[in-house]
Amino acid sequence: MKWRKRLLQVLRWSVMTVGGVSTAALGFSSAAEQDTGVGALRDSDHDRVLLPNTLNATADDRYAQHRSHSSHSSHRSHRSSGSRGGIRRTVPAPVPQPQESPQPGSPAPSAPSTVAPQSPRGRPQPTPQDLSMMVVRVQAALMRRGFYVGDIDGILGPVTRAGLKAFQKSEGLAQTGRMDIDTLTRLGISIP
Amino acid sequence: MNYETLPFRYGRLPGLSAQVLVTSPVGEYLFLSEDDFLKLANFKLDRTTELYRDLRNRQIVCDSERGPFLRGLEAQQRTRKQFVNEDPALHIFVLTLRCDHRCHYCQVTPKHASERGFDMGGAAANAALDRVFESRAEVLTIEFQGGESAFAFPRLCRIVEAATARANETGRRVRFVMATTLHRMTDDMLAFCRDRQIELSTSLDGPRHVHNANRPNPARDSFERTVEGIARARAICGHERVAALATITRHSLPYPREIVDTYTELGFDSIALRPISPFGFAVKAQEKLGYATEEYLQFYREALNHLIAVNLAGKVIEESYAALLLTRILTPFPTGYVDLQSPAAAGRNVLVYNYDGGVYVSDEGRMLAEMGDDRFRMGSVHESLAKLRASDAMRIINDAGDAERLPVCSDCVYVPYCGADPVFHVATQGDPVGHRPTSEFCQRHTGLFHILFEFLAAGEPDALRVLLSWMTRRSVSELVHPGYRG
Amino acid sequence: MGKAILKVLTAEEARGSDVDPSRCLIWRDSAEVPRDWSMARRWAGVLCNDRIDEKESAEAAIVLDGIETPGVIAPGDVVRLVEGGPLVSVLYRRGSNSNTLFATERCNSFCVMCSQPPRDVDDRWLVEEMIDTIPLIDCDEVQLGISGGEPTLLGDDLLVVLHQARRHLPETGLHILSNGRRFADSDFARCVWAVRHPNVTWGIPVYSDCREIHDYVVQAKGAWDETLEGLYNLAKFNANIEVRVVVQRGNVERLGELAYFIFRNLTFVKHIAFMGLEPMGFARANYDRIWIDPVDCGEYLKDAAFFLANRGMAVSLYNFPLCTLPGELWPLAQKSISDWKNTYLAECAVCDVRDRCCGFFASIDERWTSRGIRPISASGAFGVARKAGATDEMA
Repeated sequence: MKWRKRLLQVLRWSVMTVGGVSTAALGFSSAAEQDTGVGALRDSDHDRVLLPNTLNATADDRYAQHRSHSSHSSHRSHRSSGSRGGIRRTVPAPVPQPQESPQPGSPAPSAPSTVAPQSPRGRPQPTPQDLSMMVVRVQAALMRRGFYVGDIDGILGPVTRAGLKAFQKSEGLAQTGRMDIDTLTRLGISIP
Repeated sequence: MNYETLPFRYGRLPGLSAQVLVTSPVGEYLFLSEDDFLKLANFKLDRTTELYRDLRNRQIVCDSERGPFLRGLEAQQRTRKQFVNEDPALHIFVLTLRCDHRCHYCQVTPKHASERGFDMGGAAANAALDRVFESRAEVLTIEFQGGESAFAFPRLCRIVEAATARANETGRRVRFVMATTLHRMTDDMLAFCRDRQIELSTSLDGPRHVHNANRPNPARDSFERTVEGIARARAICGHERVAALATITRHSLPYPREIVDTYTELGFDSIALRPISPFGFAVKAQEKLGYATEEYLQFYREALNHLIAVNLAGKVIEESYAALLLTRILTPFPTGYVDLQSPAAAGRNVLVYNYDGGVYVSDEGRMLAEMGDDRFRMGSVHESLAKLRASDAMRIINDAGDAERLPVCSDCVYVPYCGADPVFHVATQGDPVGHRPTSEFCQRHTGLFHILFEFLAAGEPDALRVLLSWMTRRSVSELVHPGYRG
Repeated sequence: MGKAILKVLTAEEARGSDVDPSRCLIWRDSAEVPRDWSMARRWAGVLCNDRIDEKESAEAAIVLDGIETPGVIAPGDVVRLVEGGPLVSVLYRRGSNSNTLFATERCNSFCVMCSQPPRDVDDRWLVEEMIDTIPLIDCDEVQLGISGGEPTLLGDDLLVVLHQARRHLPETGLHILSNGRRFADSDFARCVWAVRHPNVTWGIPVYSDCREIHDYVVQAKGAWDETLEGLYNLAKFNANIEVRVVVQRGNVERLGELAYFIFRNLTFVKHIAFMGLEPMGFARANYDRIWIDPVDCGEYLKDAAFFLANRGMAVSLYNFPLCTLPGELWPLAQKSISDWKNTYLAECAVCDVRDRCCGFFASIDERWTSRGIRPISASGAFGVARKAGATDEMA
């Protein structure tokens, strides 16, 4: 049984750490097995979860906030409200890129079906916000593939560029350190 | 296959017929009837029963293709044994062997108050401090022992000042504990202890007749002077800065209630009922003061019953060893008590700096050296921690320090809660592994576990609330409801 | 489908605000045109409960007037306007105790008592909506929920949302309801951690120590293993975790064992909430399988809650009206039901502890009503509370 060996490692961890027992004594015979034994344990040191001692934690109110926010669930439209007057576009919106707006200039009757509020978000030009979100996706994709270990902060800095280059190298792409289409595709990121 | 078993251990308690105690590799437990136990062992348990699910919850059986819940087992084991990765936190300074008491059970060979050559010198003290600060332990504890530390108070002051300065420079935390009879502590000395937040630990063996029989001093007034010292120390340093422990001798055995009552009358909220040690004087005085382990356990049981009644009547007082054992039984958390660990913590989590500059794995190791066996001397204060750790002394500790692998221990139902004590077994049996059936350490701990598990099996709510209050360090009245009994 | 997410602000607040003027919908108390209307061309539009004369509002791009239910929208809110639809949806309400972003309708579990049954639809537009909404939320908001569906199904989109929240609402605690199964993928847990949001709490359900019971409740085989693995992966990255246990017929008998399991294996959990059923969604259809009168849960709740509380773990009871609970448990009971779906019954009118009681879900009906419902008189309650060692003052 595979888990029994793992269990033995788990239970024997302290003794192995102390050095009071050789791996042979644990039943690891071949060198390969010793590797999976001690080596695997060393690796999983990074994974260790320790159980914090809760005893005699003073009865604090750490969670007072959550208590007041305990039963939320979605309520997308629960407070939706109809409007007798409806939403009316009266003039072309003085905001950029009004391409999508229908019938510019014609004052709409106050029927709800006529209206199109202007989307305030510009389409063609990526805003700094869009760029930052793209970087978030790239950093996550790199991290998952082992090419990035920094924070996912949406900033295309030297560490992220280095990660991109390393990834590009491993994929046989030009090492530009940029988020070009090929690289994004290989990272599994679709371009909006 | 129906289900699989993890390497559980089992045992039967003398006071509990027709029940079998089963413990998991990390110390989760369940009581089973003889019938259910046989079913468990023969893989005949019905998987749809609550009992089966309880056993699976406690990692005694499993049935998933993935095996047992290994993440939980690993977290529990690592949490309990984390100390093996830690540096020494407890640093015991034996400042002097001089003392004015001639306690029959004393573990030290005391020297007269005026004798020379038995005090720690400045060079040794400074080197010992180097070792203390070489340790990366989160909180460092410096404990002053003797002899009577008060006889070496100027040295103690210099060590405290130097350690405080070094701690402040390096952002470390240091606690100080001073073991003292308090008799020799003047108001000025106590004021120093107050200013440096030194915790005082004294010996109080019970009512006057017990205490004075155990702890003779020239004037035969040790009890009165101890009580006076406690009052003065509390007045100057603060009530909570003074702790006491009781050593139990043959004189003490008839008086479990009186000893407990002495503590409550003096306003202590903790008592330690410490058995007599087989070291030093105590071996010679064995005839006069010693007793069979069974007698100690009888005493302990009576004291425990009395303590529970006292707590239920509204006084808050714990027995600290029971609190320690319960924490090991009922929680996944580590305990810092260095004398009951597996792997043994001697030399790893505690270091003893003798007055002469020798470094020992434990206080008992030092006493053994006084008696001519220096195998637990790790080296000198002038050697690095790494070198001390690589000493032959540590090899002995490591080889015989893993209770889970020791003969008899490895099959004992209590081993998840117990420890290994190679130094004790060298002292009493001449061998670091030792022979379990005749080991006082084993008999005593087995007996203590029997007593506590009887309480847990009986499930009497009031008694449980008291025991729980010791473990959780809350007052009984705070525990509105005992909660699930598990 | 054209739509806009806009912040409702008074002209005065809008002028002093950091919010992009083109995202501001200006709140007007009356049809009266403000004198200082100089910003009008930069604002997205104007909103008024009354009718606004078209000539007067000619300056504004969007005019929203004649609101049918005045009082629903107020300054500070964030609203969604949809092209061609008469509805204005309030996505964020200033001053509410239960603001929640809705992440997706999709879910990989199918809980028998789910109050918000999942639908397998392509609703990626909700991600855009969250990203647009977050910068418009008051930056001093204390807490914001993210719910679904299963938010972790968003995958890397969830990272983007968390990143957006970290940038725009660094002071706001996020409370994310998830089944935690996706975190069985340690890499995903690592990525979430790497976003470094300073204040996220994950509300994750563990319904039983017993794999079969949990998997039955969530109607997904292997879910218990995934959730537990996920909890450990989150703990590895020091995540703030709250375990949520909806108490129902199928798991109530092992509640004590669950508490024991949590204490032995999951003490990194910061808070445990035992929750009463909400009579909505699947819960209504599965009444026979899940309903248990809260009165019959009392002993189990006491066992489980005090087992944990005695050992220093933070425990709360949600959605249990006080009159259905043993007095000892009152100090643990919270006013847990979100304001917008909270109601009280006729009996409550004369109850002396109504003010500190969670009350009921508005969806309650006869068969979801406990037989224990009754008004508590101050004198009687006082006696119970005293016995419980409660220090709260009575109304």
